[in-house]
Amino acid sequence: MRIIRWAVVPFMLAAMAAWAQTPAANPGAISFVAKQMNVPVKGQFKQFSARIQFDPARPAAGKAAVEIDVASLDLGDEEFNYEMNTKTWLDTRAYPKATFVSSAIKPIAPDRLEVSGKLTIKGKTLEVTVPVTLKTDGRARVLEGTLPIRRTTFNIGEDEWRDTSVVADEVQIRFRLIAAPQ
Amino acid sequence: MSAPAINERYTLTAISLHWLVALLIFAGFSLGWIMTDIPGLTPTKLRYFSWHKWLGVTIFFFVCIRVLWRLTHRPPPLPPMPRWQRIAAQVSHGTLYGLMLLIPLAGYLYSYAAGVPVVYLGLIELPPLITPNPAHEDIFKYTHIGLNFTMAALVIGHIAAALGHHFIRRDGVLARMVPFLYRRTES
Repeated sequence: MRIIRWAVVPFMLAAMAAWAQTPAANPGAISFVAKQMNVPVKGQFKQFSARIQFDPARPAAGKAAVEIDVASLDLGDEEFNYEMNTKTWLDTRAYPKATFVSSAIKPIAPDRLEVSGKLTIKGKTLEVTVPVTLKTDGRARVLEGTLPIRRTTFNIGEDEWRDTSVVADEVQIRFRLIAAPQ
Repeated sequence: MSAPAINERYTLTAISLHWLVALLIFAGFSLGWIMTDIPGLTPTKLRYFSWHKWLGVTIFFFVCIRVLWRLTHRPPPLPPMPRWQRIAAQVSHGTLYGLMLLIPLAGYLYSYAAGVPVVYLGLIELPPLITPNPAHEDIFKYTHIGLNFTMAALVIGHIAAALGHHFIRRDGVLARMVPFLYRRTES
């Protein structure tokens, strides 16, 4: 019996490794809104992957890991897109990925969660908590939310751009992620 | 000395609006020129773009009032002059009014075609008249620029004509729009 029990371990490890290493492309959307002289500037990340384990019966046991290809950022303007990739802004050559890895999921209401985890952008990691709304789309679960960040905390916009009177400090990251049916 | 050919001038409202709009147009045109010459992306450049748009909205607003005022108030008569000059004056004034409305409008549509809303004074987001479309962006951009150079040429002609009337013909045309000159010709 003990043999059988130990025989399970490699499979568990393999499953964990798979979970960690191969986040699947997600049919959701990750976008953001910044403000420039109070003008809303919208952008989106065209490439990202997410690995979401979520069982509505046991929400606290859920896990979420999101990995964004920062260079896939699109502001709808070639020049702006180019600028955003430079060292001053997101330095995508040095920091190609932005990640979020959940550490705890707390159910607040049947359709609301509070997800805590580590957010890493431009090499800087911060502990964040974000309210998430849970919706159902067919058999799939949809997780939606808005995470406000302060860009200067992550060194996004260096030197003269540190001044937040033109580009505001707060940036809203909006996400809509699909958790495959369990 | 013969009496001044004109002893009637524009209303004070018309005079004030004319010089206010002239000043705003000069500021908007200069700022547009300066900001588009700034290479790359800088906070100053973004700030100037916003100011330029706010100036455009302000100009559009005052020109609407000007047009309403002009339509409801008869301008002072012109002194005797050849027919072609009268027609030239009417055509260029009409065209200037048209351009003063079309130029801010083209700039506004350029901004919205590019997907950038205009937030007047950083406070009021103005209505999008069109949906963002990269194909329309260049059309409005070059319309905005082309109309600006057309207006710059007309304004130079406008100023040359005004100075010509004042210094060469001395017929009091300029005094109708410049209060301190008017007082002088009146005495």
